[in-house]
Amino acid sequence: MSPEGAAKSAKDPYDILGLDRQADDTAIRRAYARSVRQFPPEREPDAFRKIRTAYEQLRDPESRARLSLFLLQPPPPLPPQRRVDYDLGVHAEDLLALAIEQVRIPMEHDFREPESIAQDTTGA
Amino acid sequence: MAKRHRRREKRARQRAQQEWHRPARRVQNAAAALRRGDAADALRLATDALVAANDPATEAAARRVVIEARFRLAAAATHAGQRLGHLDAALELDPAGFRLRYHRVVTLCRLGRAVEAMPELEALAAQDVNRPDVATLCRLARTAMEQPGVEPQASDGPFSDDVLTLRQILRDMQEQPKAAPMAELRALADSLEPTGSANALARYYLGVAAMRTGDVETGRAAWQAAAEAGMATPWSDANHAHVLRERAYALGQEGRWQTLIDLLQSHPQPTSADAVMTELLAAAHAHLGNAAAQVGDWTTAAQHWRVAVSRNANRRLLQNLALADEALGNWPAAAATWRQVVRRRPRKQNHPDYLSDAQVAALWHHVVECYEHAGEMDEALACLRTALKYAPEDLELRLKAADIAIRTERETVAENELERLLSIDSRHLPALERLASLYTDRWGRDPIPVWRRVLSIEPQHEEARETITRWYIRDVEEDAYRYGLLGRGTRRSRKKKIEWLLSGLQEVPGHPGLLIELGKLHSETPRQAEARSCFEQAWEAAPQKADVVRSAMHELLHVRGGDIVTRLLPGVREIRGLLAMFWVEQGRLALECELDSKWVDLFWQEAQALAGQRRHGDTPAYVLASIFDAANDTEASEVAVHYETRIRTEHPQSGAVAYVDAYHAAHDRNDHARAIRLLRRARQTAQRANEKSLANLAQEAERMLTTPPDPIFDLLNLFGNAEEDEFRESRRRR
Repeated sequence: MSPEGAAKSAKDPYDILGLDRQADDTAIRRAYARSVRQFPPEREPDAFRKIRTAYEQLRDPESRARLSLFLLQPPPPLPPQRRVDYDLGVHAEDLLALAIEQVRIPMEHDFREPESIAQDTTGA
Repeated sequence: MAKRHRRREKRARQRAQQEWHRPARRVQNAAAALRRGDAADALRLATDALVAANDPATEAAARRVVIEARFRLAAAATHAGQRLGHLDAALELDPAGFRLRYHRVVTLCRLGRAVEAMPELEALAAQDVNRPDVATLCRLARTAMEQPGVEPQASDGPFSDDVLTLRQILRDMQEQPKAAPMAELRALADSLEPTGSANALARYYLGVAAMRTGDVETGRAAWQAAAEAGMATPWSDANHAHVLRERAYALGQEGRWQTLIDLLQSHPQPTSADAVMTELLAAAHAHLGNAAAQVGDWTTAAQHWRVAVSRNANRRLLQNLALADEALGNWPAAAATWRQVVRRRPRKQNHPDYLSDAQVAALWHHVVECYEHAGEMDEALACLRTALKYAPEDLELRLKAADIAIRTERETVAENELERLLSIDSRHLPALERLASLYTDRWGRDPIPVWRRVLSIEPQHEEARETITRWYIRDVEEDAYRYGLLGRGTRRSRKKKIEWLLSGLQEVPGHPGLLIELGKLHSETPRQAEARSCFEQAWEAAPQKADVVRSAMHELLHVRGGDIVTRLLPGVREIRGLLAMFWVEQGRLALECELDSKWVDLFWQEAQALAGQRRHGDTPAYVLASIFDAANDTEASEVAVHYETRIRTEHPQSGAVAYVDAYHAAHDRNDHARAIRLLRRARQTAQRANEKSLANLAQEAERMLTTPPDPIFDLLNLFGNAEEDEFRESRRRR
């Protein structure tokens, strides 16, 4: 893993602030305030610096939108589940197939003898 | 004898090989494969023979074997779809083949495509062929399609009891949509021949019956068994796909992504044809990719996301794939994927994933970075230009475009980009700097006005000040080379030159270079005080710059400025990283210009004092050897003897003694061989004594002696226009 790639995943500001990707301005502000209370700058300067950087990246909607272009995206949700309509009828074609199965000549009866097929090869 | 025998054997082997590859022989071998029941091998051999056949008879025989092989493979196929494929392929070679057409019709009926089969069946029945079963089939089909209620008669064929029972059950189920005779159908499915289509039908309708009662598990199992037995009608396929989809959904909701993938991969046909299942599969791979990325396993993540993207080229999946490729350092692939991200963006503004022009430009900029990592600068420049279409006012992007154009030696492109940038922001300093540098290297362009613009924005801009200063000084120096009547006429007077340099000082106030040049001009006049003032100002303007201090100090001594030198001397000792060689050189210059010997002594004492600190490889022995060299260079033999004596008494084990002896061997006795030997000894001794600088000095002298004399250098030296070291260095580089 390249340092850039690792850095990108490790510095996901949403993860740092404990937010999901759909977080709006209010949620971001609240998460920032909560994180600062948890890691005040005077006691946890490193953690606070990370929190502040993450907040700076997310506070402005434009920079947030630009940032999201280069962050790992969550997997897509399952496609909507449609109501399944099973075909529980009896098809005339199946009845026909059943009848034909009994009447038809088996394919093995129509095999040709290999000798008779290959006999006319001049120069063989 | 043995040799001849081996040759004969080899020829026989070659003949056998050639014989084996003859088309006719291949046909025979294909027929043999058919005889032993290997239809696949027969098909391969006969197809090769058909391609290679060089006479009509062989071609006809090969075609017959291919048809027969196809027919037998069709007979062996469990799945009706595969059987149809073989029969269709055989019919391409023999479109009128009765048995092929007949069994194709039967297969179509088994696949539930009776409507499609009917015209062909009618055509077969119309043929005068001795096949009563065709007429029966035709009648049965017609009855089934046109009069569904009419039952087949016993005379129609050898219907078994089980088949008749199954038929009756199905008829009942047809009439009563809620009927679910599961027990009877299960008993029939168990008793009917496992490979027959009647068995597949029984299992399928067992599934239908189970689903009618809501027994989904039994239904799914029965449909799965029917599919495995060869049931492949459109309705059975659809039901089977529904079952798979439901199971896949359930697995997805439980988060069992790998099981979901295994399930869908075990049924490739319904999956590839079904959009929802394709999406489910993509979602499963996307989840597994994210899980792998969370633990830093980017290789696995990339593999999953690549599959996901192949199933569902969603922008977000592409984004993840591109990030994984970046993490793996796979830059060209990452760039290609980012380009897809841009291409696949929604264009409607009300779409949730709509990207603004700024975002599109940012993405293109990112593509550029990937190409830069990959070293594909042409692509990088092309993408930058695309980015600029979306952000024409983005100065950073435009500057980058200019930089890449410069790196790829497209000066005109770079110039245009910089001009465009400056038309947006005329005071953009980095753009002006680049444009000035670009103009310096381009014919017909004058960088000085651009540097002046830089200076007007940032008066202390180091490069602009230096370049403009050099330009003023060069203009004064060029006067010295104007010869002849015309040249002499255009030379400026000293007064004009002084005025010129003063105007330079107005533009670049206090520049030490200009002050020193001005001082030199004054020193040629009786106005020595003004010269002293210029040198003093230059020194005080750059007291930390060794080259300025060196010039100012030396020039001051020429204009009786010793008191100023004495006053400012302590400041020289404060210059960071000053080498002892600074003082050695200063003394050499003083000696060369025959200045007061007290200055020479003072400078060389400073050199020895600094060497005593042993900084940057300076050592007392090395400094004394260098002073010895300097004294000899200036032909001050008494001084040289003084320092030689000191070397011999104070540093006998340093290698400096051998160095001095080598000098005498080369210059006094003209014995170069001995001098080289002594220099080698000096180098070895110096290395042992940890005198690295002295060892390098000896090595350099040895190199000079061992390099053959250069006639071109001698010629240039005749004109007094070559520095030997520089010249040799340039020759060496070439």
